[in-house]
Amino acid sequence: MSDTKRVFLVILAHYLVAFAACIVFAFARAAPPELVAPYVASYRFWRGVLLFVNYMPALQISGLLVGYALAFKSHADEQVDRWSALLIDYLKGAFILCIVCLAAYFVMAEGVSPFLRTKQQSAVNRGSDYREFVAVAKASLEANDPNDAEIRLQAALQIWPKSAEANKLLDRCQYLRAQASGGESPDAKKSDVAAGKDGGAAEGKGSVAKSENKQPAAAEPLSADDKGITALEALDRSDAATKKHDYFNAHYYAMLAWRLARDTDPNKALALRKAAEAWNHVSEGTDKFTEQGEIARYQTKREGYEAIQNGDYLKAYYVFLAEYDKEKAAKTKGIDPDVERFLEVARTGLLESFFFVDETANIRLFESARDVFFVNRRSDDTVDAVFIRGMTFMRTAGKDVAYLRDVEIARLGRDGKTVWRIAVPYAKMFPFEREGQSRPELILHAVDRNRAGGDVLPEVLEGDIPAQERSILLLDMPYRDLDLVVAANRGVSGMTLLDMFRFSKTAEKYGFSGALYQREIINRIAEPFLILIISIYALILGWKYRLGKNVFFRAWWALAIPLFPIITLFAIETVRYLARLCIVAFVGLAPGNALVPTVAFLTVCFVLVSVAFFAQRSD
Amino acid sequence: MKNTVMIPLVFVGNLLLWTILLSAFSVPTSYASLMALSAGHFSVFIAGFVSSALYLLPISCMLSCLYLFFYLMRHETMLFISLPLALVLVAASVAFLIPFSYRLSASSVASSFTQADSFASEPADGAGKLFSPGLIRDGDGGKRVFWLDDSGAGKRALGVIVADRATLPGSRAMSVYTSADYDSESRQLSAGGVLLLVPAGGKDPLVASRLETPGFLSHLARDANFLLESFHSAFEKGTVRYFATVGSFFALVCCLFFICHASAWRLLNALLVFTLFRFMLMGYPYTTGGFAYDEARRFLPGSVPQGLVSPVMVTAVAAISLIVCLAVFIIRKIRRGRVGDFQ
Repeated sequence: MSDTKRVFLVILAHYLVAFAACIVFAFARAAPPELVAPYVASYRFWRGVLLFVNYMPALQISGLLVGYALAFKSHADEQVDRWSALLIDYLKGAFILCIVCLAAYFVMAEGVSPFLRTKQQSAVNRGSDYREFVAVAKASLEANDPNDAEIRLQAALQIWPKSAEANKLLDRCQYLRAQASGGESPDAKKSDVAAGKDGGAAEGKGSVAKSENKQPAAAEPLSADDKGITALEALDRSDAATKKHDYFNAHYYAMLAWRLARDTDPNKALALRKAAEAWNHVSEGTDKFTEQGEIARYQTKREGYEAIQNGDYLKAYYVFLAEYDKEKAAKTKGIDPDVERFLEVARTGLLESFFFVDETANIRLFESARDVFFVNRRSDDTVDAVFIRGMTFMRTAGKDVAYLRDVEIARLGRDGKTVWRIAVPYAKMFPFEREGQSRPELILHAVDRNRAGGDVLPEVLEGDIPAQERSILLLDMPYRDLDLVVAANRGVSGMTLLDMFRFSKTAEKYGFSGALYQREIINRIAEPFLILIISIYALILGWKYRLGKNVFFRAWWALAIPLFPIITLFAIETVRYLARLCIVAFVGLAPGNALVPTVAFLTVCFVLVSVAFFAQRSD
Repeated sequence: MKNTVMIPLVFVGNLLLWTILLSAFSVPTSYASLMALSAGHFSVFIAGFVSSALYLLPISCMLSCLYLFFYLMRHETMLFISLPLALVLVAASVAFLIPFSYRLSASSVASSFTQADSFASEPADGAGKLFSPGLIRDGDGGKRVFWLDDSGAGKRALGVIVADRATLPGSRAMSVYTSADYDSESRQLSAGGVLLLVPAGGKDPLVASRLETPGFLSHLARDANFLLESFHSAFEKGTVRYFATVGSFFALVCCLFFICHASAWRLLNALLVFTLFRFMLMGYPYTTGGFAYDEARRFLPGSVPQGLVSPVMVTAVAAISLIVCLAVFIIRKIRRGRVGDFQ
């Protein structure tokens, strides 16, 4: 076995023993009080791993120091001259070991550590959520509201399914509900709650998809058909509808063709003419009906349809929804396909400007960021300050969507005075594409899926906000910066090097210090150089303080081995601290240009220490 | 023979190296000096460098002494020459070099740097200006504070936003103030009697938080400062007190020579020397007060002045260490000669 392999085994032994020690230490320490039982073990394990990652460089250097001090024993009595091939061979082996260990460290530090920190934070958040759900459920039970309590407890049980406290409270809820409804079995009620109006609430993220699927099944294909349609296809569909005397659809597709056609397209005029003809038929429609019910339905459809044509999708949605529910409840005939179709058209249009309140039920269980605060300097010199209590990112139908909880936004003028300030319990955010750039579009107006009048609008706390912005607010920033702002709110240590590179140039725009990120970038880049330099210096010490050739390793020396990683850790922390001081001075002296001289200086140090190693000789 | 001749050079070389390293890195540890250096005021750095070099000279001497012992451990020398030579170098440092540094630091040479030095200390001594606007600042209890601009020479912040993360879900977390007043004495930023942020001025936490000294280093600096202050105080109290205090501690340091031969593994010896040196620094304050001091005071005759109790204690520890180490050293030397497993 070569000396390099032997030293590698020494380093590996350091890693294994230290990993075990870190895990034991992490499990011995108390977990944060917010955590609930299912997350405690994993939280502690992650803490142990994070601790181990922190100590990896010290273990590597200690391993090199001890390993090479023992390996050099075989050359203790040899005459070794300066620049000898023997030392160059050792240096090569040490380089390989250092590169392997450094690669492992950086994968752990830049990839695994930020991920684990996020998981830890998420576990703490879920613990806090659980306690809050249970506390609210208890309050609801005391207020004799078992329905609300049950919804909260279902959410709490999603976090901790085996919670004795939550299950006990749930049983009490079901008992109270059964009592209230005159002895119906608790199990029946339980399934009622799970599948009923609160089903979505209890299922969190799944509730969004489920809620969307509550719409008529036949409506979906129509909506899909309309996507990517050309003007000619729309005209063809209009003709087909006319032949079937389906003038609503004939008008709808003719108008669609008119909107899709370019101004120079001769079909544009044709589309408008066809739309007019269809509308004439729609206008005289009631004359053809003799039954009162038919007339009323036709008028409702016309009212809804006119709302669609006027862009009032909210009104159209409720008109068609009421008609849909009426026809469904009547059970005499099937549901009018026009109603189904235009309900879907209205719903699709509505969701471009509003979102349904029930989409946000228990969405906080899936929040990946909390307490996000940033400012945004707008191009008109005003400043938006944004506070978001919780953010849930998801992807639906290939599109990024985020739900924001407890959003507060203030717009400040150049003089520091408040232009307006609003607060809204929930907002839905999309990337809004314009001129090749996507910006965050906040939909602030939530509506009830089942009835008109259940709107949730932002509360205006101060000033006058334009009506349009009270419903939809477009943030004056690139959408991709939002991820960086969220990461910056978690702290510098939670950001990857790539994130910091991207953010350092725009950090000031969002109220974060650009110099802080510059310093951290240089710190992170300097880190491998520092470890490499200390490693080679450890090699020098290993050679200088090597074991004598005829000296055998004594048992009591093993007792002193733990001192090596500790002293090495102190040495590394000292070097890191001094490097931080130098980097602050460099960034202060040459803001924005400190990286190159720092890296050049470290490279020179590295070359010098390498030369110093193979410039050694026998004592 | 060559190795023996090298001893004074090794000591002086190490002394220079440690003096430069310790001084160069001790200057930026002060926030004010670092900020002055970042602003390109190099005179502040030079002034700090000179005063630190003089102040830290006893520590540099001790470290040079240790490295000289390592040199003796690693190289074959004529022990009956090299050891006395090393002791003479250490004694010369105690007798001449350190008193000279004290006299120099009190002389006009050092005071010529006072002007530059005062520049460095000024921002730290004053209450400090309001932090620069346009950045989010972390406050106590999960508060985050941002202000758009300042006016009145940093006495007032304009467009202040406070996001309080500690508020309960559903309640308002953000407060907006058109302006807030900054009190440079208490470093408080407040609006209408409501305290928004403290400290809102002085050392910028965005820089200072990254410069926090690691715990073990701040403890080391605290113990070293205690020792240096004791040395300086003894120097001011007279020659006898000085030689008793400084000489006894250096005698204790010299005992570490024997630790360099504690085992056949040089690396382990070096490690033990550093560990014990750290314990010496850590233990020294206990010889000037506390339980051990009280016990020693009771044991010693009343004629021993109070100021000499610590030197007597240190000398006693050095003497015991010397006897034990010498015994072990001689035994090992005899065994080494017989068994031949010692290089």
